[in-house]
This record gives sequence, C-alpha cells and structure tokens, in this order.
Amino acid sequence: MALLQISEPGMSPEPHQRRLAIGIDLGTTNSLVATVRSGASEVIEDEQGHALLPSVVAYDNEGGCVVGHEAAARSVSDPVNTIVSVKRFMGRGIEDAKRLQTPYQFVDAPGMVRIRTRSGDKSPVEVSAEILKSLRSRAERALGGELYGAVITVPAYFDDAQRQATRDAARVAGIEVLRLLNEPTAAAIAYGLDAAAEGDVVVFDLGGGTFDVSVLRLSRGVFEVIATGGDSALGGDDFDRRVVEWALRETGAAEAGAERPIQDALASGSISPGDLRAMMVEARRAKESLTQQALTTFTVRLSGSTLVRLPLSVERFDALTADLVARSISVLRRTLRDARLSPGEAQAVVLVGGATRMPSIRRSVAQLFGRDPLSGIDPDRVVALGAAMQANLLAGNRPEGDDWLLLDVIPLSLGLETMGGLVERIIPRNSTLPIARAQEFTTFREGQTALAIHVVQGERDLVTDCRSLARFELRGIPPMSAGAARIRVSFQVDADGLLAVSATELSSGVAASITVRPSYGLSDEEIAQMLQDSFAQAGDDRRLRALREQQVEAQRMIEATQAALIADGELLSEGERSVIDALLAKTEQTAAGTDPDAIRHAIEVLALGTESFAARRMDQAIARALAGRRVDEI
Amino acid sequence: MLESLRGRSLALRLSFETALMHLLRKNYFELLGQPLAFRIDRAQLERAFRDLQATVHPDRFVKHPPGERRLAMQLATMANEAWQCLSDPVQRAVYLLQLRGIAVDPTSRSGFEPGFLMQQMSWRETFESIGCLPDPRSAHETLRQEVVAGRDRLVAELEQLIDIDRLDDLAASRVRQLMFVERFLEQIEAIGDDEG
Repeated sequence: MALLQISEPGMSPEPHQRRLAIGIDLGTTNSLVATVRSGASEVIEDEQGHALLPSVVAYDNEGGCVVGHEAAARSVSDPVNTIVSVKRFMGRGIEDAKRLQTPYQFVDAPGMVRIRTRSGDKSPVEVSAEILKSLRSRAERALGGELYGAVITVPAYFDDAQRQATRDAARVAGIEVLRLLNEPTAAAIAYGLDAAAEGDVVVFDLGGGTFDVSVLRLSRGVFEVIATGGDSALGGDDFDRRVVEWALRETGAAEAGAERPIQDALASGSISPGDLRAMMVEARRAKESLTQQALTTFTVRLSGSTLVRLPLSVERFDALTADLVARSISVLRRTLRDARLSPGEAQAVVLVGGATRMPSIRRSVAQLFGRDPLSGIDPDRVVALGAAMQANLLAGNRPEGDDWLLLDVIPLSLGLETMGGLVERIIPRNSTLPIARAQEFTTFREGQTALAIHVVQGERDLVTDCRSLARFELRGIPPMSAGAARIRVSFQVDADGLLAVSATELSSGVAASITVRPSYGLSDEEIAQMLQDSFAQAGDDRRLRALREQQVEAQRMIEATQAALIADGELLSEGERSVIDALLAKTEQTAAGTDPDAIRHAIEVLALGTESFAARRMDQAIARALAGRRVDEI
Repeated sequence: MLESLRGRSLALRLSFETALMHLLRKNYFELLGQPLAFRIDRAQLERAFRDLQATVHPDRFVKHPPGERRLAMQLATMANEAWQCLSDPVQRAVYLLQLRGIAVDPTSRSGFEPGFLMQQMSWRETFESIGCLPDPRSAHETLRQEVVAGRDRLVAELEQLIDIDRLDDLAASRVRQLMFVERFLEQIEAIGDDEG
C-alpha cells in the first residue's frame, strides 16, 4: 500500500488480501494478543490454551530468559532475577523506580533505569521487548503468516517518554507499530460503542499497576478523547501490598504502627525477598477469592518454615484498601470535572482491568453514576480485543463507510523552561492530535550566541515539578543585544502523541531540531545494539529476510500506484505520467533482483516521484469529502 | 537510469511542495468549506471537520511513504487548528478580522464604553459578595446565566457588525469586550467546579 488508497464505498480488500494485524495489550500484570478472524475479535491463546501471558521475564545464567507462566513460577524462588510489572519502570529514572517498593537492584544509567540481573543490566525496554516477542511468535504461529503490524495499547496517562519506550520495545521485538492506542479507548471500541449514535462514555480502568479514567465523546464514527486522568502508580498490586503489610503487622514481622512494614521486615531480616514474593502471590489469591466469597484464609509458608495462617474477611479487606478506592474515585470525579460532565450525563460506564472485579470498586462506581457499569466482556481481555479491532481497521481490512476514525488528545501539557525555572506552556493538555504550536523567545544577555532549550511535560508551574523530556541547544546565533534575537520554538505532536521539537533564530535562519529522545529514553545506538543482539540470538538470515521484506514492500507500492493511476490518472500531464510509468517499470525490474538495498532505493525514488500526484489526489479527496456533505444537506 | 530519473523526480518533488503549499495556504474557512463569515452553523462546521479528518488523518496513511505521512500529519494538524479556531467565537472573530487586515490587541482597553465598564463592575461586585448571600448556590447560578446572556448578546452583535455592517474597527473593540466577558465567565465556572 503506498499512494493514497481511496477505495470506492463498499469495497473491501479481497479475502486473500486480508492483512494479518494484531492488537496487543502490554499490561502491567498480564499481556494479551488478539486478532480479528471471520469478523470477530478473539484473543489468541498459547499452545497450552492460556490467553493471559503473565508480564514476567526471568533471566537465567546462560544469558537467556523465559517469559510468562514459566517465569512467574520462578518469581518466588528467584525474585531478584525475575522481573514482574516492568511496565512501571518504562521511561522512568532510578528515583521513580526506587519509590516503588520492589526487590530489584536498580542501576542508574544515562537515560532509563536499568535492572541488575544475573545475565546483565536490563533496560525496561529490553524486558518489555521479551514479552512482545513472545506474543508475536504466539500470533505468527496461530495465524500462519507474516504480521502486517500491530496496535499496542498504553495507559492514556502515559507521557512522551513512556510512549517512546513502548514504541522502542516493539522495535526491538521486530513488530511494526501501526498505532499506539490508549487502553480505555480500545475498551470502548471492544464494547462496540462506536455503533452507539452519540454520547459520552466513561472508562474506568484499574489494572495491575496503573489507573486511568477517560471520557470519550462518540459521534458519527469519531472517537474523541475529551479528557483523561489517572494515577500511574495505583493498581491492583497496591491492594495486594496492603494485604501483605497487614499480614506482616499481624504476625509481628513488622511493628504495628510501621509506616513501611515491607522495607522494615526485609531490612530486619524477618522475611526474605522470596518470602515477600510468596506473600504477594498469596495476597493476590486472597483478593481474588474475596470477589466471590466473604471470607478467606491468607496462608503462606515462609522460608524459615513458619506457617502463616490469617483469616481475612471482605470487610477487613475493604477497610485496609478503603483509601485506595477513595483515591480512584477522586481521580474519577476530577476527570469528569475536566470533561465538564456530570455523572448523570454519561451514556455508558465501562470497567476495564482485573482489579475492577473487586466488589468495593463496582459499588463505588455504581454509586457515583447511579447506574451499573458495563462489564459484559472479560475486563482482562477487553483492551486487547479492542486493539485488534483497531489494528484490523488500520490494516485496511474493513470496507470504507464501515469504519471509524479515532481522534486522540495529548494527556499532559508540553512546555519549555524559561527564566527562573518556570514553565511556559506551549501545548495545553487535552489538545486534539496531531497538533503543532510555535512560540517566540528571545535572548536575555548581550551577545548571547547559544540558547539551551529544555522541554518538559506536566501541569505544574515549576520545572522541577514536571517531567523533563529533552534538552538541546541552539548554537550559532549571531551576537545581538539582549532581547533582539527572535527564536521560534515549534512543537509537533503526531497522532501517537510523540513529540518533535525544532528551534530557529528568525533573523539569521539558524536552526536546530530533534525528534525527542526523552531524557529517560534510549539512544538510537542502544536500540540498534538491542536489535542486533536479538537478531544474533534468533539466528535469522538477515539479508534474506530484508530482501523478502523489500520485495513485499515493492509489490505493495507498485499495486497501489497502478490503482491510483487507474482511479485518478487524469490528474497527471502526459509528461508526468511517463515519468511515473518509467519509475514503475524500474521498480518492477529491480524487485525481481536480489539486492535489498537496490529495491529500497527504487521504492524511495518511486515514492518521491509520486508525491505530488498524491498531494493532488488528497486535494481532490478533501474537495469530495466536503462537497459530498453539502449535497447531503440540500 | 535510476539517477537520471531521480533528477526528474526531484523536479516533480518541487511540484509536490507546490501542491502542499496550495493545500496549506487555504484559510481555515476554505479548508472546512465554510462561507467566510462570523455567523456559523456549528453543527455543519462540526460535520465538515469530522469529514475532513476522516479524509486526511494519519491513521488513513499507516505504512504510506514518509512524504505522504508528513502531508497527512500537516493537514490533520491544520484541520484541528481550523476546528479549534472556528468553533470558538473569540478566536473566529479575531481570525476573520485578521483576514481583513485588522489586528485585535487583547491588552488594549480603548473603546470600552462606560456602560460596559459599569456592567463589569456590577457583575464583579455581585461575584465577590456571593459568599455572604443567604443562598450562594442559586446566586452563583443567577450571575452565571446573566453573564452567559451578556456573552450571547455580544456574539449576536458581532454577527451584525462583521457580516452585515462590516464595521471592522467597532467589531474589534467588541471582540476585546467578548474576551473580557469570557475570562470572567471562566472564573465563575471554576468556582462552580470547586463547589461541585
């Protein structure tokens, strides 16, 4: 697919042209992969029939690793080398990671935090890539072919660094990302709320480690995210931790009034890291059983062979976690207020995430809205199912007219550091994407020839309270008196919510630009190295694979160009037409050869040669879109 | 052969830039197929915006060559800007006057008639005394409705001044008044949020 593919209404690709597209829910606790088969979205199971892949990676001595259930089984015996809930570290620095109460040894590294394992220091991106690779091979085995691409979901609250990290992980795993999709939006798609005529939908997503609220406005096939809120450090794991803390106090392993009983118990040696994992696992089981029954027994055998047995009632559990529920409800209220929506006005409320099975959560949500939330689809699967539907759409597998368009917003404001450590907001949060904004600044010293530009994300007024995304310098400004230079800084945020920044001094034309590699992200070299490592491990014949990829790409491009020429050939002059015909012939001839670089080059030249044709087709398509509307209305 | 073709396609590339400029040079009204007027059919504007996004959004160009994706992103960005501008009365008026060569200076206070200023002072006094009134909630709502009505009167007046009388300078001063009222309305509504 290359040139503007504007298919006729009601036409969809032939069945044999269906592209294999998947949706991936890369979750904190569990991950899933789903696809659309025979018109229905379904989760792809592994060979043992498991739908959920625990988001756990265990590293071994030989430099290899295992992922999923097998890894989860090692979390008790080898907690330090078994990485659980890695999503919490994505795009994060060491300070953030240390706050999260985990058994890991963190290593400070330029960019993102690293986790020390026996097979080396691992970036959260590498760990996530292992999970993605496992899902990818599961999908390829089940679907029996090469994947066209994937939609990967992220919490709506993820900032630029976290989104970049997710994209990087997909790159390392060899997955082409069609789109990063906000998890709540995917859930709304899965519930078929796109078919509902109009209205506002509230999505309450309490997962293992993150909490998101989104208010979506649906109308005429367009999903608009009108407000997002959340807490990237609140999730089902916190409820488990409350139970563990309670158990430690009850057994005397920590003092009754201890503020951080887990650290205290670990520090005093009354429990080992392995005991902690075992207690976390048992706490999760206890929590889950309390969704069905009123009483359970918290039972763990510690490494010193002490047996802990404590009765836990649902009332006690609710009391231990009441503040967590209250925290989620107050975020919910705040988000509704941002959306200027009163609870009674919501058309539907959707529950997502395994933690929303807790009766206390369902009760509180129902109470606020005065109605029961939607929960017909398994809250663990709903996001992956929606992502698969979006992937199917982006792959062009749905006929035009039977599709929808998703408009997203940027979750957090973007700004620049100005004098005195203050933030000058350039793009306010909840602006519809894509968006571009520019602002002019000036120098403050006589003869200043360079300007440091510091990009931050967040809602606070002080730079120190916001997340630092990137720093770069504009150099070579001709010396001028203070305040005379005019420096224009432009932000462009694409549909995935990823940022590019450029700066130009207007009187001299000196320019600097970067695609933001966030301060917490990885350099391109690091990613290239990870890619190389993964190729080396898979033992792929890279050249053969590259050749095949280029040939497929060339074929796509040729077919699309030919289709465009048939549809709108009259937009071209004879001379222009002959150039494109010659480029087509050349591309076909090159694609029959065996040199992937030559094919790539031919494709690039063909793409370049058809760009203005594409622009004219776009112009015509816009005119038709708007004209069609007017005819409609008469 | 490839190289010489490349030379020719660079010439074509220039015409691509020209075509792009043509698309991007459209003003917001043209881009959304709207008549060049302050009075707007909001429902129709919204439909035009969605139809345009459905055509140009980058999601329609996944895996297309980089040039096309860039074009799609620029057009979708512009569509968002156009919608944000035209759907807001203040921004729409400022933009329309700007197209006619009139700059609206938001910091200027000239042209505020005594009547307008008196009304602002009286609203402001009511607003500040709400806490002391017997029923602050309903007093707040009464004031809010009064200010909304005041804003709507200004918008109606702008339709007359810009579209029919074409008194652009007078319109510019009314736009500044409208900005003033909108800011006050935001303050009132922010207080309402805190109470809710």
